[in-house]
Amino acid sequence: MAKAVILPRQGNTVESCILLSWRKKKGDKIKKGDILCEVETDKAVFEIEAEEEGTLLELFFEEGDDIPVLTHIAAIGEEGEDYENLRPAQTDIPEQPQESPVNLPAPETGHKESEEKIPVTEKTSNNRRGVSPRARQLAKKHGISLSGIQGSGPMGRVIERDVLNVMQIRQPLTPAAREAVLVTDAPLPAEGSGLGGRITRQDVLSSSQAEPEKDIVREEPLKGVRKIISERMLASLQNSAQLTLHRSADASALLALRAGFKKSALNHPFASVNINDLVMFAVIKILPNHPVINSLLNDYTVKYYKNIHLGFAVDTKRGLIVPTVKNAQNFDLLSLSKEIKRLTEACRNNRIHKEDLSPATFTVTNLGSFGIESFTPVLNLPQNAILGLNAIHLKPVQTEAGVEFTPHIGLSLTINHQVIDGAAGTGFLQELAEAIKNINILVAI
Amino acid sequence: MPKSILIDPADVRKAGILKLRDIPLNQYKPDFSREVKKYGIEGLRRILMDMLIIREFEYALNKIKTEGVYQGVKYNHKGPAHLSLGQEAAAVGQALTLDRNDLIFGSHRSHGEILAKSFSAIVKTSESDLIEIMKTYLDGAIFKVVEKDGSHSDIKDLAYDFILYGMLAEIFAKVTGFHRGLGGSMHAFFAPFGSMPNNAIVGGSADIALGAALYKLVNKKDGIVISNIGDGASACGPTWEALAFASMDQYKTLWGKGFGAPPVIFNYFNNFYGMGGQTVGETMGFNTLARIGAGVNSDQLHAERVDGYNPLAVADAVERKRKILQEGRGPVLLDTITYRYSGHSPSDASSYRTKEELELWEKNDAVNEYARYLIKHDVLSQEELLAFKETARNKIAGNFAKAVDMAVSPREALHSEYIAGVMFSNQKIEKFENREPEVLLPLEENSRLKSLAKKERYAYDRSGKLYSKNKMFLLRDALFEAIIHRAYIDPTLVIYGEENRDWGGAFAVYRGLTEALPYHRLFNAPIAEGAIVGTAVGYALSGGRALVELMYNDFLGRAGDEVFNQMAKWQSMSAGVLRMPLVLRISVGNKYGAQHSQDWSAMLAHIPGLKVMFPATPYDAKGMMNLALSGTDPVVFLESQKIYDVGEMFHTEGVPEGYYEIEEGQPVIRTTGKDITIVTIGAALYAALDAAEVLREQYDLEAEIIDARFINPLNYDLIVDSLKKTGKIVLVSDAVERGSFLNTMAAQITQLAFDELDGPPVVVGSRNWITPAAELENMFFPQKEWIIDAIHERLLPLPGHRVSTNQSIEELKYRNKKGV
Repeated sequence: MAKAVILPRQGNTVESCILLSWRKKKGDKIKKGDILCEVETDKAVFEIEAEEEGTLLELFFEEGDDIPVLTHIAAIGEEGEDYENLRPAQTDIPEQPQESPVNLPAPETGHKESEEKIPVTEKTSNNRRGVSPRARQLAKKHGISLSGIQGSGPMGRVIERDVLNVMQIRQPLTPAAREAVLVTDAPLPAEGSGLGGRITRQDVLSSSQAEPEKDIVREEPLKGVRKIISERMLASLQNSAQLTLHRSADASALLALRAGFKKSALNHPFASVNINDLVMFAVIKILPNHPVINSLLNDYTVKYYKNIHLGFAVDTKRGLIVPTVKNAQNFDLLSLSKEIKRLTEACRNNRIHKEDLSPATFTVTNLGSFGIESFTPVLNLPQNAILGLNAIHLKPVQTEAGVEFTPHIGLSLTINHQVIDGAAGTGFLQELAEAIKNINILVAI
Repeated sequence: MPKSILIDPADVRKAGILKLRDIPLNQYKPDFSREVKKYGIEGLRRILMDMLIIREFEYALNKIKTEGVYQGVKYNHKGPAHLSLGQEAAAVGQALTLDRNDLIFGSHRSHGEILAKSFSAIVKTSESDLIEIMKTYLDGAIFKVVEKDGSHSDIKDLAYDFILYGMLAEIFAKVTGFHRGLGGSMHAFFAPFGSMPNNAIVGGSADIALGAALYKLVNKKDGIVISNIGDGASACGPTWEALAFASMDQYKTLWGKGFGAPPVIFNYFNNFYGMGGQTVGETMGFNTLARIGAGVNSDQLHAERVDGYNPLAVADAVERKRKILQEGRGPVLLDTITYRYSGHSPSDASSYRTKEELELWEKNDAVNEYARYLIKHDVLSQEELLAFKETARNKIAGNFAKAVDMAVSPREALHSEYIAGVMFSNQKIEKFENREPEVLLPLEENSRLKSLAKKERYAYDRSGKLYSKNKMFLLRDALFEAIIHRAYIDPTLVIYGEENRDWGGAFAVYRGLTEALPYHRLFNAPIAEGAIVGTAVGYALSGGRALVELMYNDFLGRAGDEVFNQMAKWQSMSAGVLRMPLVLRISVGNKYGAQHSQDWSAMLAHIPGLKVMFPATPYDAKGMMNLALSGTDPVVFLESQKIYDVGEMFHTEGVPEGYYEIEEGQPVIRTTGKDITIVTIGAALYAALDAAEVLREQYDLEAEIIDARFINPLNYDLIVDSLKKTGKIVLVSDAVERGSFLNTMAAQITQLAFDELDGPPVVVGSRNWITPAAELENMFFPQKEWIIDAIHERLLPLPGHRVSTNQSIEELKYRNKKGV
């Protein structure tokens, strides 16, 4: 009997995966453990292995499809076997009962398939969704971009109620802005500069200048990791009160220690420990003193954690991925450094394992190697804080001998002001600066 | 089914032999002195002159059609020319003794009949009347052109030119034609001179002419009516229906003294060919057409064969038959033999007949023979004959040149405003005559009206409970009130159909009418749907109001030509000269399977020239019947058998006892709502109401239900306004979905309000099957579940809704693919 290949759930938060590529095609002979395809979640790319032996009878999805987890994606079995019963339904709504007020007449019985179907959900592989003329008119009148709207009509059609829903949550337009919208036909900013967030005529005009239609070279829809980052970042800024504090820490000891490591023999285990590792180590050491920095906010409840699960941002070709060093407080400098390198490599090679993408309690992101002197990291919700590391630069410091130029590393801490006040954030930064200044002591302890 | 007439088995089972009487063939004996005495020498010479003019007229058209030039004037005539070359004597002979009050109806080959009848009328009409007729007809449009010439010796000469020019201009589609060019060659006529509509449908004039005779009979008007059809029409069903309808016993047995029978002559201009089909020896079996009268009634329709190649024989026959008709002993059938020299039309190569045959008839040519007859009796010289021919040629040439000249005879620009004025007459006429209507008892003594006075005219009691049907004033009662109202106002109103008297109509609408109206105003027609509608067409265009009935919509096919080509078209083909105050009630059935349960409103909607109404409530039934019966246009009035017994559920004050009309073409809102519009036609209103209740209770949606009421004309404003509010529209009726009028509405709505649409207009109709047995009908006719499921699948997915029927797009595609 033919067996289904099921798209596994890649971690608890994953609802669907993008099918990146099929490695096997219909009709191929499959051995157990063969890589069938690659799929991508918001965080990583996974390979799906065959768990059965046989012939690949059918591929139920195409590359680029967004597939709900636990869906049948392919069928493996003996050649010629029937696999239609394995074909996934187009909806996850349970099948309706067959009972109907009358026995259906003969011409319909040979056509059961469409009867069982509740065609309310759109076909997942179909990216072309309709917009009703009415919804289009309404959106235009109120200056609403249709591209982000999920349609609730038949076949995923965007209908009036979908636009009305957006209107309820969006900032209103001033009358002048509305007129301007009708003329410019430009997409609008989510947030306006007018009274109470109202979108003004100026907002509309600058928006229309920002994206003059005629200059578009090509259009690329956001998808995969990019789309997820897009949603997460927007959600983060929309759903929390972010405040970023900047300060710097004396990096003399940091540089000296790193230099010392570097000079040691090539095969010495400390040779590869870098500035980033050292600062991360410092973070681990002081975080237990600031439990609110290592907390999460869920539904107006702050959750504090005993352990530190330290996330760090890795830049990859497909976008930002944030692996997690679990129970980071248990690591010494060397093992921490090794773990960071392992995870970074895995991310860059698309080989990150789902366990390494589990939720973190605090995140560090480093733009210092790119020369950035200060920035405003965006919170990785529901975390309440994220630390940005900046470049090391010389800073004039008043000493007894006069003004001396001392190397300093910039620290940008974004906190969720809903939970953490400026003072608490400052406290953390201050202790961290001290720890960095005295990093050799911290390492020695 | 009159109780007064007994069917006695002893009689009908008796042995015996049915004897037929002899049928006279060409019995006219020329007697010159008698003929001179009767017609005068001038009269006899005029017969020749008229024949020569007709011959030249047809000759000119033949030249134009085949060579594109006549008498040096070039013209390209695009339309038809079915010529009667060779048939002149029959036409002129027939018209000779007819009055202006006598009417002739003809065929596609009636140019000669129109001219002959008009010439005859000109001779018999005073000059002042002629001037009055010519000056007022189409506001003098024809007269102004003809009069300019100034060459006329007298008014009658002018009138000849008036007829010739008006006729040619009509054939050439000119605004100065008899009917502004909207009728053309095959449909031209001139009513003021008793030349009535000529029909391009073979045999089409038989039942229409009978209807005109019925009008004369019922309203006691002078004159007779002649239906001129060809021998080819002798096979047509409606022709036989007309013979049956015309010879019903009841005129003599039941209608009472003083009526007699419809004064109609079914005259077959028998030229021995129906197109190319030879009726003797090939396509028919009667051998002698006059024989068929013997099969129709015991008078054998007084049928005889007349020599149509002798005008005086024809004139004699018409005169003798007129006497029979005046004595109330009609109808009459004449087999007037004649021969056409030209083909059926210029495209006809006459491949079906021999040259020898043609030459034989040409040797016997009626015009030459008659000329020789006059010369023989010294009332005409050879020189005069040549002069006659010259006169005829000059008359035709002069009028032809004017008729083709675009400066003198322009064409009408057929813009919407103009055409709307001729497609419908749109008048309000309380009654077509001022005399007292003939009734059997005062209105207030009518037993049904008395019983209706006690009924509840609003369906619900004070607590909101429905009254029982026995207590309620029902839709069928509402129709009755409107009909009896008009019957007591308009003396010309006649009501007939199958089972209309005694039985009270198959659906009890007419119960109480038998006691109110005499036979000649309410009678049972034979089961002859074609003739029922066809006679009503003739009755209405003659100036009376008719209310007739098809018992089931499914029988519309039997009256197809009469509804689609006659009832619908004569107002516009006459450019508004004729009116058509004809209301055709058609009941839409159910429960009786595939041939008794169809809503064919789409076919009616498709035919230009009909007003189509379909009420769904008692209030509307009365107000719309009042509207239909006070107008001057042909109305098809659809009634669903599902709802003859509904009470008035919408107008809380109930159905008014007094007179009122519903505004034409205006839909009505039944329930207001903001979320979705449901438009219904007919009985589907009630399924929509049920669906609206489910939408309200289960899905918190307010449906706005609009009852279209009218199919044509139809004002879309209310529907578009509702759509502006809701954005979503479902259309429901009992007609099968494919080709349903709802699809026309959906397309129109999409045009009118595209930007308002939040989804495609969704049509919910009956399935594209045969109507199944009553027990299975809920799988055929739209149910409330279908409406809700269709909304869910195609317009607005309803949270948590579980469909019980399949209204999906996939299913729609599947059904279309399978053709069901």
